[in-house]
Amino acid sequence: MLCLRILTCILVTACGQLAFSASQEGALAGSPDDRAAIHTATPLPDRLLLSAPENLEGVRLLEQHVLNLLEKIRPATVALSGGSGVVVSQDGYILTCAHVNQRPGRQVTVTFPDGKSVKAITLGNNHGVDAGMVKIMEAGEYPFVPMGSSADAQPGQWCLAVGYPVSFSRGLQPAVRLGRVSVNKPRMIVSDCAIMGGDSGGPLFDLYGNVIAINSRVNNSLEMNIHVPVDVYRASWDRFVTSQDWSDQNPRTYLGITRDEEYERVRVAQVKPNSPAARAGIQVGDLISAFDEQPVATFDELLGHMSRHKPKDSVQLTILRGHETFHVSIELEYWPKGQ
Amino acid sequence: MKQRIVLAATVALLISIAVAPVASAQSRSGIQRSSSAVKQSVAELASPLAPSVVEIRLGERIVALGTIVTSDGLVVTKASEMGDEAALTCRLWDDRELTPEVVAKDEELDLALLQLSAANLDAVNLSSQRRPTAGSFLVSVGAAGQTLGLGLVEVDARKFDLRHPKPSERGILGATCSSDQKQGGLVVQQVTENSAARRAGIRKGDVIVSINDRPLSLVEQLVGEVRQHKVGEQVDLIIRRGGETIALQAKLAAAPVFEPYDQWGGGPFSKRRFGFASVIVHDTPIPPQQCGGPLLDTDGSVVGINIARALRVASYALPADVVQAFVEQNAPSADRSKPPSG
Repeated sequence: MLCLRILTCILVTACGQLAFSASQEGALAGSPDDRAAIHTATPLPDRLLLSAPENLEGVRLLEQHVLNLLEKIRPATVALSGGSGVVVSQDGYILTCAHVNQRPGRQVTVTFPDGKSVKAITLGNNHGVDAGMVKIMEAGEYPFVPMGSSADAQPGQWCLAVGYPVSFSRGLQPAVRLGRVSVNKPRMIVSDCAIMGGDSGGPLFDLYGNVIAINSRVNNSLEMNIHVPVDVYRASWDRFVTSQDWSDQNPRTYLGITRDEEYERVRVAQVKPNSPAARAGIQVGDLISAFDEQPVATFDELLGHMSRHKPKDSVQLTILRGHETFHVSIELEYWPKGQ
Repeated sequence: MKQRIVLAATVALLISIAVAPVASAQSRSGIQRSSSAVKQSVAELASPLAPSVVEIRLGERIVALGTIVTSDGLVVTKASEMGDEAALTCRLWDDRELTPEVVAKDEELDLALLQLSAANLDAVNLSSQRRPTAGSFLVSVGAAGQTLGLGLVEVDARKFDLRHPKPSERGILGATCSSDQKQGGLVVQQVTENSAARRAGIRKGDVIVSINDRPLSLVEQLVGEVRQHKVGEQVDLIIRRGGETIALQAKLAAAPVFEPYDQWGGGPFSKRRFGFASVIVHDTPIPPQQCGGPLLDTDGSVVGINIARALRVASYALPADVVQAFVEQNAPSADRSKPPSG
């Protein structure tokens, strides 16, 4: 009974959010008010939504559910130049990534899985979270899926990533991957649905068929696939629709060194030419032991310090070279274009 | 070469910046798609296949899995992982270690057919004609019938063929250097394993004074000269080590092929993963050394044999009927190739 209540609760919350967003966005975009939640074709016990199936019967139930769901979610998953996207309104508003869009006002081609291509234009972007939006310019009724509520995504929840990874043909059905949510934060959802280049901008679905996030980036680990929460789009819907191009985060700072993976400590493996690090005389093999006199034990700690600074900020690094210890003063730069 | 390495390192760094704040997610356990509870839920499908899966070994090292396809000892495995055929052994589930005879190999399918001197083995049934559609769940079976993972079919069966990047003809030295005015040359920071530099005897800390009689003061000069030469050509180097001056010759090696598909990590990948005509594309991460084992649908039927860890997002399996056709074509005598009853 308790389990059942949790399920109902999630459903109600999701629908409530949808109703709210529909009226709000409808007024702004003049479109997604006819959005409707997809009703699951097969009843799926909530214990299956959030945890491992208890037995083979549960696995088969989950499989059948996914098979049914694909019929509804794949037609709205589109290929864009340089990435993927998902249509969330009948008249063709598309969620994607800022790094796929690049900037507002670009003409792009949207290709549906049935091979149909239509012209579209890039709208606004929040580069700070990597969220972007596109609008199809040709009038029509397009297949679309509802936006869910990313705030309600729970660790352990099953999800499906859909998109067009590099080497998977466009104009055919997109590739689907299974996984589970591991981390849910206001600015990012992490899952173990494996995504790679080309998937950027594609949707992450919950098992109700709602978009809960948009594929954005990865690190080497297969457990680290990072998605932009869909609530981010809803919260700034009018800014996206009116083609604003902004970032709600400090621009990424650049030092110009690469990490030496063989060391736990911060050992410099490469110094990029003409970088702030090169100008400060940092050399391959140097150990960086402190940042503004605060000790740094790992490369991630160093990156953490850097993320709290803006380009042009002057910072002090403590360097260990052989038996020498000394300080260097460095002015951080903007991350170079194209890297 | 150096540029490639730098590029790879930069990509890795760029990506890790993005995720540094949530690195703790990796320590979460029990909620992954491959958690032990998920594997347990399909264990009753995988475990009955324990007697049909063998480990293909080179010494103590497992190089691939093999799947027993006839009761009198025919085994299929991934050909490109076998290495030195004479040194191969097969370890059965009951710990018997047998030396196989390589009966046939198919380069296009990357399959090898091995003959074990054994009888009354439990062969898998490859009679399934089913090409599972996108979304179908699959169970990959490992040695001893363990579950390697639960995954799903990513796209409906279609021709799926990655283009293989063309290997560079340019030779590389395999040493990372930095310029040092005081030393009057380039100081070797790192020497790559199995590289031309390593074979020529260059060591970390050596100072490269000149290449082909051109004195060196900048790394770009070394890179520029090496670039003029192709794989297999020799360059003359003068190096200084301590007080000694040594003349060396290095035969340039091929640059490692940078696979554009791999910049998103998720490896290691199979050596052979390109150029398959027809494969089941699924999302279970199969380590390269665990290819060659059976792939099941949720009814427990063998629908394929895992043949490659291909991309961050994909593993490939050869459909069961393709493998069956290979076995029938190459089995030493016709009566051996019949699938087992039951």
